[in-house]
Amino acid sequence: MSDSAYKWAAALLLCTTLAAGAAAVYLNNRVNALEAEYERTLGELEEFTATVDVKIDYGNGTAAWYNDTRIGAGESLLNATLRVADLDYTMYEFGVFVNTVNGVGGDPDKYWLWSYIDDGWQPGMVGADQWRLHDGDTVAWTYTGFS
Amino acid sequence: MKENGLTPARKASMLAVMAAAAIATNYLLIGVVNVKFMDLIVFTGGYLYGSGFGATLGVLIWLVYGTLNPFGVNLVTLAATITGEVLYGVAGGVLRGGLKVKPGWGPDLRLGVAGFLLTFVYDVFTNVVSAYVAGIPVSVALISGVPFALMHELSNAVFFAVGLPPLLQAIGRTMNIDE
Repeated sequence: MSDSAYKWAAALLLCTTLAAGAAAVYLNNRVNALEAEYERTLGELEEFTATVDVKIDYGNGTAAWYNDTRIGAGESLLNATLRVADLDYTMYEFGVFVNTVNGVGGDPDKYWLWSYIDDGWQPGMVGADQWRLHDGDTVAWTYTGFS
Repeated sequence: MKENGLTPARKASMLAVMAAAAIATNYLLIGVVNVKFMDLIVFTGGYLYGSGFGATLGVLIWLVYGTLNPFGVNLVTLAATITGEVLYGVAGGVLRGGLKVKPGWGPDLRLGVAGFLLTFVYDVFTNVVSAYVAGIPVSVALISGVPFALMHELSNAVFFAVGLPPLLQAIGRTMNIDE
């Protein structure tokens, strides 16, 4: 191989190195920028949203927890529950009455009742659509009868 | 009196024709960012008729295209792009002795390398000037301009390697026929 061929081969390698180097720097910069953007967006999101813990007790020894469920600020318990479960409910003048959760319900002697933690579990006294949740709240739906 | 095989009048005509071709294709490709035949044409001008011819061609093209385009005019940026374009013309003249390109349809990889490196220098230079004009950090301008620069460099590498030999043949034949 002549000197000239070596020179052009070296120049070709220089081209690929420059192209690859430029692409690597650019992609690295994009990744860093996107990560920073993600963190900023998450921070802004956290200012306008809340996280709550939702428990669904099916009354048969089975219970499911949906911890750190992200909800909109001031969102109702009904809407928060709809984020984690399928509900069948009826609207009454006093508020919403939940008939089934994830298909469980229909027993004439049992009802879906909700409660929240405030120095121990407290029964919900209003419809789920009228109870506003706040960051850090813990609520539970329990399928139970009045005994 | 002939100079590089052309009378001054024919050389001036060739300058006008090549400038027109570059400007026309620039407008044709205005929607394709950083992909233009202009650099190849300027380099070809320098290669065929000397660095002075190539440099003049680069200046002429940018005086028209740099002032009459939808992106607006900035004198500092225009001066930078003219200077960068002159580089292609001068390089064409300088590299003529070393490259000895064979006119024809066969691509020449060395031209691709030359096109890539010349365009790399052009892009770095014009991006640095643009950064100062826009008031943004040079590093930001260089990094954010990488995709456009790569498109420019790679397209020019292909155009130079594939386009210059047949262009030399076509111009050579045309001028011989006329003479």
